[in-house]
Amino acid sequence: MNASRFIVATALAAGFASASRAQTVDYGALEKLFAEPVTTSATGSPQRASDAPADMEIVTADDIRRSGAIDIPGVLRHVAGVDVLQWTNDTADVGVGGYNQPFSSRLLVLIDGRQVYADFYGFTPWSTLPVELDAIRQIEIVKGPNSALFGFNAVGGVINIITSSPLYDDVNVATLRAGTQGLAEASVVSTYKFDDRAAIRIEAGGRSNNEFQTDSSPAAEPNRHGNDRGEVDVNGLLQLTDDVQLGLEISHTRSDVTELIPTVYSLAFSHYRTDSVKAQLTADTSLGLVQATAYGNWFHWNGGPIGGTASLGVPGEIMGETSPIEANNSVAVASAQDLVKLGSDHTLRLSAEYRRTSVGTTPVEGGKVSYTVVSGAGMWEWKILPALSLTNALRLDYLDLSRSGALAPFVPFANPLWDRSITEPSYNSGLVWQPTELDTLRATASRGVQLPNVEDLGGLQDTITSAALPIALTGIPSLAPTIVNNYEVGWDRQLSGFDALLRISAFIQSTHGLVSNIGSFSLLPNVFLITPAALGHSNAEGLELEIKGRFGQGWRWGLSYTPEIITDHLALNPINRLFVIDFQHTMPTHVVNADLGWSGGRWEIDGYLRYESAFYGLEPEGMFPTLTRIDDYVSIDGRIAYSLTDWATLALSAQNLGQSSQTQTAAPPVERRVIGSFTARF
Amino acid sequence: MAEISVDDLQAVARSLGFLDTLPKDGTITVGVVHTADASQAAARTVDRLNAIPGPNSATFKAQSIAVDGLAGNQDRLDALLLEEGACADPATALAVTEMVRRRHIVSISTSPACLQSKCCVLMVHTDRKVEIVLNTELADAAGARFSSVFAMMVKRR
Repeated sequence: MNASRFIVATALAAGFASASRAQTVDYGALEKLFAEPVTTSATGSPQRASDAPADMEIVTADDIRRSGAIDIPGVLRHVAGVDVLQWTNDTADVGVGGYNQPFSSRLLVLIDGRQVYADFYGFTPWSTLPVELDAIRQIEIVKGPNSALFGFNAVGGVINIITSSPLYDDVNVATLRAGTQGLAEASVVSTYKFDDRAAIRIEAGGRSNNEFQTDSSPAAEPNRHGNDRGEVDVNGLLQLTDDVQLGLEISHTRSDVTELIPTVYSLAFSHYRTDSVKAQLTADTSLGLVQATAYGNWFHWNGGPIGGTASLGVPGEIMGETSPIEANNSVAVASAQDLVKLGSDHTLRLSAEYRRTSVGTTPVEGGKVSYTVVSGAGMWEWKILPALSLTNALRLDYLDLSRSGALAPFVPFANPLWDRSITEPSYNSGLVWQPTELDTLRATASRGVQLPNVEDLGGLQDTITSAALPIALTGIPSLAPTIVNNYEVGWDRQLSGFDALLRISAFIQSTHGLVSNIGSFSLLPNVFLITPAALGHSNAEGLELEIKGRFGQGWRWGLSYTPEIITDHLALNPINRLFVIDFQHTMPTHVVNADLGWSGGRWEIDGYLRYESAFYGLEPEGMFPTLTRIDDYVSIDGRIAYSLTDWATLALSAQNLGQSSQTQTAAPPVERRVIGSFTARF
Repeated sequence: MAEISVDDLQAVARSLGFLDTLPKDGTITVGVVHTADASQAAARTVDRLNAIPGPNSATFKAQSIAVDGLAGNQDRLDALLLEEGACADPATALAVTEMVRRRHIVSISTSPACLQSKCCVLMVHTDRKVEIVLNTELADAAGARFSSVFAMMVKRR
């Protein structure tokens, strides 16, 4: 070896030894490099958003800041194709591709890949999410089923909230907010780097506000209380060796909120407590990028409508009883995956997952319903041509259901009935063709699987004995999963002359086995039995037309139109000949979003407009809900911010700016909200 | 002859941030390889490259090198940046690839033409869309190791 070669070799060796290699995805660096967001939520493999074989939106940290929102549903209400039902001041349900409802069950929500969707009732209680807005790098919204990657319940779509990396990012932000409805909020995100191989991010926040004071029914009024939320999350990332990273995260959230309970469509005051622990090992090996993840979620809920709801989803005003309502749900997940690129044209992902979910019965305690899911999945991306790729993903889930403990009185079942299994395949297939640098064409097909929630599978059990004939209300083990099939074509076109992106897509979707948790009524010799049941199927057809871009000095704009038609084929309930659930009428057919913003000097100004055509909401009337018309409306949000210094910003934002109060759902009208904030970046 | 744009240079710098075999701090020495008729363009590229931040905490120190003098070059080099035309004929392409193999350094071009002559480990090009192509065979020969995530996201030849 000559001298120069020795010097170079030594220098390279020294560089190699000191290098901290990126096993986990460095979203920030990759976004800068490719000049567009990067995602792993479409296939599990890191991809540029424009290459993803799925219809998806990525909401960036800049978008979040400029939205002026104080929570994630507030951010998502500006996104094309996303439906947000704002029930109360601190609670909302979010849907993608329609089918939104109280405790929306078709959207799987994750934070950095960890499920925050609550299995026990199959929904996402957004106020319990242990994340501050300032800690979010981007929100990835995959539209349509993606069960082949994420498993059960990713049927309407997936929202994966990606937070800043303790090791790659350096986020240090403190925010104070105050506003109408008595809003007071403090939030801090701080990152500590011990060296280039170990870092920790701590985030904590607390918020309180009053409930809206708009008109409501006498039955709803006692349930409207102030909302309080607090959370803390500690997330660490350690470079164990040059090839191995270990991530550890722990979180706790408490949230007391006024919310809308499904089925009876009544307001309730709920107390949530959630905890989570997660560990993730990522290794760059000769066999590919290997990742092993384990986490546990603990979810505690109690509450319910004052005035006599006997149990989750039971119209207590009719039953005339009040019982304590409580749900304790634990979820344990262990998974492993290997992601490897084979040659120049093939990427392969193999994964396996174990999941255990258990719920104690409620409101009659003493029983426990559990299931174990074992899954195997594979994804294969094939670059057929430089401009043409085909991605296929297949997953098989095997679920083993069980029950132990006592049954409620008069429930005519026995525990062995719960000894059953469910095996379901799901798939995603996507063809992406980029005929020019400006055009991307996409065709996708997918099958998603939604599990009945654990309450419907037996977590719910109650007996009302005050009636002339005992009434037993219980979940049952025989429910089948809901199957969603989706087919979509899309075209993205960069309008280089206008610095704009045009997106057009069309989809058709079918849903089979839609479940209502009070779907079956049986008059038995000694009991009137109410159980969940599958009531039929539903079809949806929709378009998404979106254009967004920039012009002039610092201007940005967007416009979208997302019409959708849903046609239900559901059985009427035999008692009052009405539908117990309804998706056909409870979704606006026409939705338009528009936004305009400008940044210049120390100023940042953004405005958002959303139009929804008239639709119907479900509201309580007697034992079963009835449809009530919600007129078309336009809501206006906005934010104006001024940077006092490089590190301090004052902002004033508003939601529903156009009217002091506005009916947007079947719940009491929402009020205009005005929020002042001070943000310090240190 | 088109000069290398600042956007392309920034994309090159960011790509080098994913090259695990480069130092994360200190100085990264880049040889800007040019043909005889592109010496002035190379000089301007050297100036532009020295003015932009290097990957991670590193800084660039660029110098121009005539492709004819590549074989005899004994300077410390971490990477070669190829001006347009540097690999235009088989002889110069061979000189570059020999340098890459012998000195175990990466060669980068912003011209898609380098993919035909197979003299660049990385082709980085920004126009309407950022395009990055990795020549895996030459990368292996250079002993260049990129982060797995980066290697999965770029095109391979």
